[in-house]
Amino acid sequence: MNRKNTNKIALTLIQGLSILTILILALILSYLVYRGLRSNNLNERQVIDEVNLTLPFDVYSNKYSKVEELDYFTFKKIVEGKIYSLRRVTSVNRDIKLYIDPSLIDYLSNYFLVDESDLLDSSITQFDSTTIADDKTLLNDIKENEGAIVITTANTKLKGLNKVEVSDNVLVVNSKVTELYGNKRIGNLDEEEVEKLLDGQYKSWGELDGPPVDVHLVDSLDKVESVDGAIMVVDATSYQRAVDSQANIDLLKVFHKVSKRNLTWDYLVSQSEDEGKYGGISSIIINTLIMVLLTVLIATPVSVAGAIYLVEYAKKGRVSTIIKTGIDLLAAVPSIIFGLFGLLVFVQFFNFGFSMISGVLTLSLMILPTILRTSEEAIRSVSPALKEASRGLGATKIETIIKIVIPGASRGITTGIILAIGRALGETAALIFTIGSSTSIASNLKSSSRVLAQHIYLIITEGGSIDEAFASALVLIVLVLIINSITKIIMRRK
Amino acid sequence: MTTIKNNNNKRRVIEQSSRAILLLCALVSIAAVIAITLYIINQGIPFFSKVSLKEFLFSFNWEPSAKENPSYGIGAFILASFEVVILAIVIALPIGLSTAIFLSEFAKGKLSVVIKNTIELLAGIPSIIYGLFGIAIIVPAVRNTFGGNGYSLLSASIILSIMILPTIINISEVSIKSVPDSLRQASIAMGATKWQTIYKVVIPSAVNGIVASIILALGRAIGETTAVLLVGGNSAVFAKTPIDMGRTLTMNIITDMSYAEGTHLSALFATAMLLFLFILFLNFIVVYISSKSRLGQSE
Amino acid sequence: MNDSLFKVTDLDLWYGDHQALNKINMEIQKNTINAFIGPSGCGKSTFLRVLDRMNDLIDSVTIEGEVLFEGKNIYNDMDILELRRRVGMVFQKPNPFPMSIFDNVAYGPKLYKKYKKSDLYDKVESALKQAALWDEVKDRLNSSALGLSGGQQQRLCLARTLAVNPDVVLMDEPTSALDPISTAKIEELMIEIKKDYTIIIVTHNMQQASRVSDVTSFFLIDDQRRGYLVESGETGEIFLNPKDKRTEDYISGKFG
Repeated sequence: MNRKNTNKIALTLIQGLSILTILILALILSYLVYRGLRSNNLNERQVIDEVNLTLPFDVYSNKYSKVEELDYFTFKKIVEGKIYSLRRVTSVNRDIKLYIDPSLIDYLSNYFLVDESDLLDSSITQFDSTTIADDKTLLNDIKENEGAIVITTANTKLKGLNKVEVSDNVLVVNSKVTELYGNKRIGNLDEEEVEKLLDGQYKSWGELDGPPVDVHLVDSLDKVESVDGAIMVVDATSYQRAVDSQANIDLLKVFHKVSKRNLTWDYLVSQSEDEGKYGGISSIIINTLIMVLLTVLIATPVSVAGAIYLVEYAKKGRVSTIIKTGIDLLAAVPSIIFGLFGLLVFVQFFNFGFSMISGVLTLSLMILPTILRTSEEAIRSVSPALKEASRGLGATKIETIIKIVIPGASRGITTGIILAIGRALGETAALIFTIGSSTSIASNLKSSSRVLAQHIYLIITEGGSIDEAFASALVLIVLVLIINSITKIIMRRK
Repeated sequence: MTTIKNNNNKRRVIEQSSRAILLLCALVSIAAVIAITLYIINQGIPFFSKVSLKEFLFSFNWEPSAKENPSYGIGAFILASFEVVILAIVIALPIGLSTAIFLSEFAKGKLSVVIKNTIELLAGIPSIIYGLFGIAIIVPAVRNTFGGNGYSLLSASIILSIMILPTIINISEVSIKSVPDSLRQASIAMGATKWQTIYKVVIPSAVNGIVASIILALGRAIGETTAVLLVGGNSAVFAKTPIDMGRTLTMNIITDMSYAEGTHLSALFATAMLLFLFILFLNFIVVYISSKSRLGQSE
Repeated sequence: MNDSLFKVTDLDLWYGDHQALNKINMEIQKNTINAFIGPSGCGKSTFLRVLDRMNDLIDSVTIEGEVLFEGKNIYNDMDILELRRRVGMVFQKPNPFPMSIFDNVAYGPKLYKKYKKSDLYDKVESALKQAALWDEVKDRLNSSALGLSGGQQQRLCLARTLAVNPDVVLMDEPTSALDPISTAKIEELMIEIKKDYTIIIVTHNMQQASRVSDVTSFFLIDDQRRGYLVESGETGEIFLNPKDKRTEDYISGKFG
């Protein structure tokens, strides 16, 4: 029967679309958790991924610096003093401090092709690899120096520091390979393409968007220069030396996958630096909590009092209709308009400036309807018999309200407050023009301060690292989920 | 005796003054609405002495910072706002309505509990997080599927459609649930299938509530700022297709607010005035619909 | 009277763990009016709903026994939608759809196939005429059915049921929400349409049962709160000369 099939199809569709909502939420949450905990980036590097394990030196870094691997060229610039801050290496806002065992200077100057005098610079601390493990003062110095990079002789074991892996092999090719061909030029290779290339699985560079030249694996830099389409893996020092002597060769850049922990304990507990670009978010979390607390402290008494008036005093009629319309409209006002209002009234008219108090007052107005409506419902459901009993004992109306009604409605009122906290936590648009953006902990009501949701907004719009945005977002969503489950628990106890 | 009397007098005074205080608190909401309206109008109105209403609403040319002949047309933003929210409703309605039907007509047990929790959580996710999610997932998806750079009105619509799902589902569900069971039984007893009953009896009977849910969702969507700002592209040029970058009313306010001054600034408040007007209008429609359906029930 | 339409054998029905009907056996003849009487909660409405499988809407209901409709087992051998088309139902409270009068009656036919406008109009007209409502509503077919009086609404529901050409009309206390005049009209109607339909009516009203029905079945609850059939027979016999003492007590008690 035709309509039976229609029925079956329609009902399946309905069920499918309902389950889709679950999938959407699952996708959002799991993606947030994933990106919050791990950052996966493709970095362009001049070296291939292979780590050199045969170097006669070991490299260590301070754990805070997050330096776990270095490529030859970055390392060379660090040693030369051309990169002096870790900002460009791992986005950590620390100046680099080098520690070098002088017995390695001869080797290092040849390895990096730098003057020995550069390695003897007064900014570089010298030490003896054989005794460093027992040198408490030096070790403490390294552990306190968060930008420390330590170069020891091979097989020196240092505890409590990151062992840094060094990659120094490069893909050198004949200059024909990197020429513009048509409107195409060979791009960066990924790990898999490098492997296949060195395995001889590509016959022509055309397969990699390069020119239609055959791939030739060769074994000397001379051949790389002379044979069209030649390629060779060579150590970076030799490449650098050849380039320095004007050899006509090129280097293929490689995408390097970096998968790291994103949200760390350090990020949660350390102070924000340089207006939120580096460092952690502890001050921002504290500001968020202060903001939410103050907002609730201001909004709750007003909303609960309003709810009491509506239920216990207002007669059905014009006043109660006006109040209810006011609440409905206030609930419908978009947050950006609250933001503008806050800017005009609290920031400019009352001259509070971009400050904690301007933000808090704006948000208080915004969450007022949430608390008021939930409280109203709770107060309405307090049994009239209880109220009458209290009045019968001679209590005045307000005494009855304070002693009977509010305690009786406390659970509902709490639910309203927590719902409002959830809303305040995630608000951005109303705060951008009111609360300011300073990343330090608000010391008084008039200090400019930044909260979590707004921090995420500022990271994105000011071009900060998206990984950091996700780390902060994970913190925010966890706070929201906690609030959500508290609401659930309170409501279930009914 | 006198102490008791004094005490009672004191209680009476407290009683009277507390009543006044409570009333004052109850009036905060309406006072805030009036203050917001007045302030926005006060800042927006002077704008129209410099620029005509016609140019403001219908010109597609927004060059407020031009040294000579700055122009203040927000026609493109009005259109973009409507395009975005209508598209969002088109995407969200089938999913939202299906879920509401499923919750009210079928779901018993675990699945419905899971769906209800899902809706609560979706409603609780801050808009900034939706925006971030949009940048990371929706924008690349739109770029890969439809071309362009992905930052587009369509991306904004998709994000908005997820954000308004809870509104559509919750309000539709309530109105579908309030359709009397006797109507469903009458239909089933005549040999109608479940789907025929839903499609021909239940949905038409709940149509007021469903329309109200759509309008409330429209209101929420048109006022949403952060999430659409992050994925919409924010280009002041008119978006010819949904996969072009575009700018909505809210985006216009938030983008220029930080540096605008003079006429430019009051143009932004005029934009906010218009937005506020839309929201008020939508709310009055909802009030009208719900009062109409209340009358219908008492008939 | 050997033209048996329904034949029910050893029917048991449970709501979850609670047995609500116990070993019901009954035959229902074509073109008769059958009344089910008995005290509240005795399962007569539940039993009525067995006949067009409306109990299927309740998840916890389980049924044992055999219900034959024209010799076919309605739980195994018949399509449920076809059964419900052929066995219509009028409910206790008038439940017109919130649509126009015309659309209410046209609802049923349109479920099954697409009609030309004129054909549909004919169907609606004849159904409304059968329900004796045509003259009252023919000028306002497009106005809302909710504007009709209670009695008119119930006749509209009857017309709606008749519009799909059923064989049987089940009526679950169809007049309990109506005034006496509307009730009388419905009763007249029942007698009038008897020649075309088989009618089964559940009623609390003894007089109604004695006035309109040909056959009366009396239900009671046993001490485990299970409903069962006490006796079934020609209405005259049951009311004037009941075989069972319990029937006599109930009827005389009710009549005072």
